[in-house]
Amino acid sequence: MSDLAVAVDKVSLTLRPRKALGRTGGHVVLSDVSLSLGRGNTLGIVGRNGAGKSTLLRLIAGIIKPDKGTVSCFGLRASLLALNAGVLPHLSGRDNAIMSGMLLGLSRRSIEGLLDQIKEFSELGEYFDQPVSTYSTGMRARLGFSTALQVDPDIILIDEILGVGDAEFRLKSRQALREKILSDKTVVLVSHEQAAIRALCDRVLWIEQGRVQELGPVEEVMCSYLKALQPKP
Amino acid sequence: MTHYLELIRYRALAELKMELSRLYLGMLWWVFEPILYMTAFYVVFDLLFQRGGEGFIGFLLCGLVPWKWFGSAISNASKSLDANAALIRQVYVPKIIFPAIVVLTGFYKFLVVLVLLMGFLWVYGYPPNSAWVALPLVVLVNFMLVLGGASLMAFFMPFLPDLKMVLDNMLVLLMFLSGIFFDIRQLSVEQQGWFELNPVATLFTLYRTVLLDAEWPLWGDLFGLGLLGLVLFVMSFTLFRRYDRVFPIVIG
Repeated sequence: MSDLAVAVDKVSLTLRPRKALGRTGGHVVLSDVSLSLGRGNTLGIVGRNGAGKSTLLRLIAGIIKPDKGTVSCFGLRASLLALNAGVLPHLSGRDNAIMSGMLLGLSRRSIEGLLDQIKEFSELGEYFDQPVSTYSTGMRARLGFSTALQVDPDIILIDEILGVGDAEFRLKSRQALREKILSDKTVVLVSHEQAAIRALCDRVLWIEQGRVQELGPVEEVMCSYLKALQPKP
Repeated sequence: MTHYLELIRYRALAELKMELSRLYLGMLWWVFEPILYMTAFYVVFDLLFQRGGEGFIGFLLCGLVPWKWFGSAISNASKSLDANAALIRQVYVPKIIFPAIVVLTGFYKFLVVLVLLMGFLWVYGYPPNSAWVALPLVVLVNFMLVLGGASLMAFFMPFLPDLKMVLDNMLVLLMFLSGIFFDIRQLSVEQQGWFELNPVATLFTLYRTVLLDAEWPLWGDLFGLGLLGLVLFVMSFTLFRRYDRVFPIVIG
């Protein structure tokens, strides 16, 4: 099974965030979740808010560790498509792009080699060398997206970010991401946009209250998921 | 591993750059701040209580300059994981890099101020002497001690957020107990024994021995402090490795 990219095996996780003295307990976020994803495939994850979708992505990214079970990426680098993580606003867009690239695991040399493409895609022009604190929200998103797109890990984990910025840039960024997903990339995509899931994914995982409800072909799973969302008569 | 060292260095320099661009007086503050700080002590202890005596300013500075690095590194490092919470939630990085960045940023500033201190001492009547050769060793030991202390505090703070409320006061206490503005050797032998238990006080003595007394540092003290710093660092390194993927949950 060397063509696997992600294997999640019987994973359970209970969150116990830090609490005031005397409060105990936690809540079960994931319970006995298993899935596998082949190289070059795209898996969609659907489920209601709080079902554990984002937590599952963070487990695959290696940010957190399960209480039980194992997560393996077979030595591949999996990272969340994160916009502006660790941005230092008083530094230029260029410096921040270098920093993000390094935080996401690229060597300084390789990220520096990508700067021209990042600048071009972001369409920031002269602003690329201005401090990020002078940017509008949309411009920050452009910088973050362009950097994240160029960093290009082996496995891309996407949590709802399918496009950013104004109408024009949104279209362009969606298009670029779409091309990337449809190419030979391994992708895990969390989204509430049914159209996106249908268009981009090979298989879909539906989770409900931390448990796998259904895992299978897109149409089949989406059909039962949508049925479950309908109010009971 | 080398990747993360490069990242620590890049981010430390970036933070310096940021600090410089944010203030109108930029780098001058690295010098002004210790001077202002020193002036306060000078006014109180030398002018007001007349406890200073000859050579008081030099004595004061040899404690104050390393203390600024030590104190602010411990204080900032203990907040460093919370300060980078958004990043920690989204990207996996070994969390020990955050206190390391704080320590390195402080180190660069310290070096600038140390060079100025050496220049000042020269003018003030302590010309360079052969014992200054040992200064890099004292700085190295200082680095180990700051790194060990800062990373250990950075590790425990997210688990014990209430410690934040007392930490800064503890640091003030530690500063007073480190003999920054009085010579430990003037105390009774019994009291001196207690002060010798404080590694920070020993560290300041090392600086004073080299810079003011123009003598070689006590090698036993030098080695002991370096070892202490190393042990603290190895301890925090091990703890961080073990709990690296717990922090995003604890902080989140």
